Amino acid sequence: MFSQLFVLTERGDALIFRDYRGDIEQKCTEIFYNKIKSARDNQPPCFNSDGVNYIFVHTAGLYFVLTTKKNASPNCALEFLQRFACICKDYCGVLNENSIQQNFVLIYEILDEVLNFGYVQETYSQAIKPYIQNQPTVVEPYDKSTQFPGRAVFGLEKLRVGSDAANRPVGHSDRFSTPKKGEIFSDILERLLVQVDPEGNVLRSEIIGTITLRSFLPDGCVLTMALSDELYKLHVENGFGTQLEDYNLHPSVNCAEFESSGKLSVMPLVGEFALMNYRMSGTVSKERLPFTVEMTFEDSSTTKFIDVSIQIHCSIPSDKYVEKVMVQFPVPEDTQSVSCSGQTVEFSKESDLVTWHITQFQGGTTIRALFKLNGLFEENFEYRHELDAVNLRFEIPQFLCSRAKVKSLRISGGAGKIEHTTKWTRQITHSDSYIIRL
Amino acid sequence: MLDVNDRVAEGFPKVNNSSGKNFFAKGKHIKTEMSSSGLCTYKDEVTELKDELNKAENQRNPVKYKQLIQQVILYMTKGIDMTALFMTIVKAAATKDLVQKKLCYLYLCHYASSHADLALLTVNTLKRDAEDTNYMVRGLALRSMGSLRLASLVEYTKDAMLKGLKDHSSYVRKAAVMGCLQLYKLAPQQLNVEDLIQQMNERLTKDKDIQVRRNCMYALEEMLIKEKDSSQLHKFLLGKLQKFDEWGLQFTLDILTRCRPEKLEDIYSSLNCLDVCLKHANTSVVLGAVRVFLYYTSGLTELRDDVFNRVKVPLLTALSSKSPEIAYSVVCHIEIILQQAPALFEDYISSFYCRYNDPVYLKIKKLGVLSKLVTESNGKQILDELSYHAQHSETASHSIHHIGMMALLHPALADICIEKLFSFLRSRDDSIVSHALAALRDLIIKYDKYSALIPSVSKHLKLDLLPDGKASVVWMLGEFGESIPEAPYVLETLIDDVDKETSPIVKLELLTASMKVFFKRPPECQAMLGHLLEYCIEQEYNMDIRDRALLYYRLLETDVNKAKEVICCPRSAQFIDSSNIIKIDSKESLLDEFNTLSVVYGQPSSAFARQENLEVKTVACEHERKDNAEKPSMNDSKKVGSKQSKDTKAPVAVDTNLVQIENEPCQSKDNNDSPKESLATLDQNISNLEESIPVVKDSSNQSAVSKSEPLLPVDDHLDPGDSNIDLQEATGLPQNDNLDNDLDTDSVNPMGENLIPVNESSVLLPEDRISLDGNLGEIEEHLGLEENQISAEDCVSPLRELVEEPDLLSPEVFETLWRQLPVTESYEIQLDELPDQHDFLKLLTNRRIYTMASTPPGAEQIRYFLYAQSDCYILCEVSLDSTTLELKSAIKMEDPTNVHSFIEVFQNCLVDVTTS
Repeated sequence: MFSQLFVLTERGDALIFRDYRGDIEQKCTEIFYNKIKSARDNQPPCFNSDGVNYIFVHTAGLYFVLTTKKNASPNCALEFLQRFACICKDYCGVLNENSIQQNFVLIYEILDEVLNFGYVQETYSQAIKPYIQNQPTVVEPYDKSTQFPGRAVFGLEKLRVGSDAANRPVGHSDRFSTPKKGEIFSDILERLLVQVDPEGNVLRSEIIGTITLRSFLPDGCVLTMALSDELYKLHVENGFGTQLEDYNLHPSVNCAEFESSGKLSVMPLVGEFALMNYRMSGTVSKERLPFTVEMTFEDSSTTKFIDVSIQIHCSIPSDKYVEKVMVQFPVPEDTQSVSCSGQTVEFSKESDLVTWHITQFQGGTTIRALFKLNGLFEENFEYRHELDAVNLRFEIPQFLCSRAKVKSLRISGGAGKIEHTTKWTRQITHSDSYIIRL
Repeated sequence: MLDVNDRVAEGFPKVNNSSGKNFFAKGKHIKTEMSSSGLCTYKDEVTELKDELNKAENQRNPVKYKQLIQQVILYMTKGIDMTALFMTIVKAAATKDLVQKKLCYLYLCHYASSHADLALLTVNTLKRDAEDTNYMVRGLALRSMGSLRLASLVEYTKDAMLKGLKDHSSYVRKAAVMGCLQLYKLAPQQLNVEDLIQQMNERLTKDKDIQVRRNCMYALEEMLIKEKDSSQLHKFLLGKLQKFDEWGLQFTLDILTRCRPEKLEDIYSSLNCLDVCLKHANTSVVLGAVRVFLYYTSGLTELRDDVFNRVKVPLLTALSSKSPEIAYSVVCHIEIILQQAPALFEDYISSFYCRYNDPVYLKIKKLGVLSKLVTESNGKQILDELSYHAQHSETASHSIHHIGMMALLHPALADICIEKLFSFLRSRDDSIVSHALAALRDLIIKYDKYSALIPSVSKHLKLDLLPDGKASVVWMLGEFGESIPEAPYVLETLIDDVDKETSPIVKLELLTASMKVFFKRPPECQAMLGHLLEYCIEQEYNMDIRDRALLYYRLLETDVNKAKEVICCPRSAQFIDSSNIIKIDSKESLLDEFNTLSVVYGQPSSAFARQENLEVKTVACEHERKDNAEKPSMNDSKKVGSKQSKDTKAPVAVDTNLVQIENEPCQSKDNNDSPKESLATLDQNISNLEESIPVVKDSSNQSAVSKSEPLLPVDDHLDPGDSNIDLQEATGLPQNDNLDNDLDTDSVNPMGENLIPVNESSVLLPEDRISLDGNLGEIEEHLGLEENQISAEDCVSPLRELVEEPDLLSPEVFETLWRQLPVTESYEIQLDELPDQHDFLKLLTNRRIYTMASTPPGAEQIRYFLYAQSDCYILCEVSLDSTTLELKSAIKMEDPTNVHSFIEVFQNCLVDVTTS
């Protein structure tokens, strides 16, 4: 099966290297890194070089790579790598270059347990816990804004930043020596995929949801979770206009019970795991979308500047608010600078992108801003074509578009004094891709 | 002590100095020193660490000692050779501390295979640990025993390993099963294989722990890959399906793919059993299940449609994975299914829309799938999505290509597609304009009604377009020369700058276009066409261009009306029905390799896996290979065609045919046939465009053979001189002197002369023979006569003094010599015209003066560094000002006696190259 596993930084340094089968003689880390660099970071996740298959996952600024000579299942390798990255995060608290460096001995211990002779053994943090002897060195997460530039700014990683408890490594001994006060975090996270065409028709409205548990409960507890109708009745339209199309459950959940009553019973594993994944889609009318955007474009009489005004309306209930809104739109390449009074605006000349930050956005309100694009513009050129889309990124705490809910969360059994268990439930909607074409 | 490099060679990570600094905060910084060979050595650190480890005070302090061992592992990861510490670590492994033990075993397993003698020392510790009371220690010991990877140790470790199979701890059994497999792989002859398999089988069926069973399955699968009792195993595995974890499940599905039940009801029941796998959160289980579904229903048409419908939703769910890597793999799999069930995802196009943050490779893949989902009803939507991405440079080329294909395949959508493509012409991004032009040209060939739009396109010709776009515009100018008033003048400016044009595609297109316009508007074009043909025949290095120019030249010379007929052929003849090409591209057989890397690579495993690793799992392998064999040849023949696109879908065949046909004259020339005869066949070929591909393929093969045959003896002939001349006279071929020097010049000649085809000089015509500038009509018929005449002057017997095969001079040696030696002789001369660099260097090489380095062509100040060898090395620097035509030469040699003979040779070359 898999011959080697290694972890590389984006500079090509090997943090971890483990050879399981000894059947590959080549300088794999170098070949891999050269390939990645020559593809200018646009390398599909599997490639073959000289008879060796490389399969990798790029996450948190690290490349997790498996090599094999077999014509293996790509998804098997990719899923394993994702899981492995997840275990590393569970044991190190946070996942980044520094935490792997500081805990490399621990990672080698983990590698001993997750793979043997290249065959996958265990991939749950819980299951390997007894065999892990090292204590993690806890690494402070980087400054939030610089931790994962680009895609991860609103990625899942960050959602956990800020909650100290959730950043605790699972193996940390003093956590488990005092199991009197258990803690359980249950998150429903919905990622919203929306695409609106220039005429205002909603082309795509999809919700990809995950219920994740991160448990610090003593062993033997049983967690029962009752979910609202939206989450277990297939093909029933919910408040948002979408319907549940498909879901899958953690293997330890009793499916039949869930299908009939929407109740999930599970013995929580230590660490983080996805209890349920679901996917909803449907045709949502424009009014129901959390945001609508209008852009007006004013070709001014001079060639020195162009005015663009953007109006965003937030239609979620007025007692909710949206956080960390980021509005991104492209501007013509002739633009030299962008100004907008009273708003936080960034302009990147390389990508010709304007990013408008709104820290908080109350439901039911409208925000309008006028952007002045300065530069030398050609006369009579249709610059409107170059402002072709607005992309929104945001996070809505305690609000789910699908209106799904955890109706109840009960914990029973277990050896510790579970009555002191603190239950944290969070609901977050976050934009996976919210594109409005103009 | 071994060098670091030995480790690196074995696949360890490269040592990187910069990272060493911040790698381990508590440890010392690694100092690196450059050894004489330029490689890093870490002698000091290793010795220091060894001393530290041996210090009594450290050995008494377990915490400190463990830290030191951690340091060792850290260096090991970075690829630094730590073998010097082997003995110390063997001793350290005998500890009660589990963490330390693990670290030591990690070290030992890492280095054991390269230090077999020392590894024997660890066996005792391992065997003792395998008897430990702690199950974790036992498990660790067995795991390490397996990982030693030394066949010589199997006889010592096998007993402990086999004993481990019966251990009461499942953790130990798990490790023992994998260990047995490892020992089996190392030295099957040392084990009682039958007994082992029996034990494994027993474990597989009876063990209480599901993971032990799963490992037995892994092991048995690898040990007995081909000899499985399939039906029994099948039943057994199906029954156990629910109990395995996801990895076991994934593996089981893989095995199930090999044993398809015979009876229909068995298939049904199996599929029912497997249905639950489609709901799994792990996408590899889902895809594995889909594979079994597809495999079991192959040939059962009705059932298969149900299966496609059943797997649709799970696949879409898998596609929505938040990991772009997984999504990419899933899209690749969906693409394969689409080949079989094109309509399956028609209603789900929005699932294939790109997300804002998708990496480019995923976007491109999704756009590819979208373009395959096009129907007349959703065409507009897909077009909108594609056009959005067409305006972003990283996805532009694919999107525009798909839009073009969409218009070709769906005539009903052609109007809106063309409209979009025209709107892209307004873009300020040259690459977008180029791609759009290339797509438009294909559409105009297919749909005659759009040719009215052409005049508006021609104004988009800019010199900074990509070759593809530029070639398209040139094609349009040629094809519609009669309706574009400025066509000849635009072409003329291009022809004036033809020597600056680097792209062969554009040049080829320019030739054809000029010919077409010449036939349409002769008075305006005659002069420039002559100019162009002259340039292409005289100065062009690219064989295809030169061949095409010659072809045209001879066509014109032979029969102008016939030439018109050939060149201004109807547009419909230039078009190959693209739907046929797509069929060739079909990945049908990849369905048998579903859920393997083949799908992601888009090619069957036979294309990328090494034979010994290939598990023959597919029935359709033979079939695939055939398909595959056809594909490259298609691509090859297109190499010089209009498209650089990787797809085989490029629908324009005009270039393909012409280029291929051009092989004909070469052949005829070699055989001393008259051009007229070859023309007759040529005409035939052009009129049967569809058939021409196979025909031409054959003939080009033939010509290749006939070309190489007479030249072969030259290669063997070590003494040039007289005998070469004999040879030429005998074959009627000019000798290609280059050939026998190829071996020597390859490494030092920066011009890459050996890229030039062997028959080049036979194609090259002396300048004075062709007087194209004036009247094309007056071309004399002397083409057939020339060959013998050209060669004579080319073969002045080279000076004996210069050694034919000088000892290869490396640039470094050259540089040193150059610096050491005084200038022996230097002189300046004024040239009448600029020698052609390529011809010049070639001529020099023929006369045994070799090129060390030269400025790239086109530089103002041209410099050559040359060398030759007689009794000693002769080094020469030549600098030539391309505007004033002043040539300065400086010669350096150890023994100056021979200098004049060198100068003589050199000047002869100069004279020859400027007068020829």
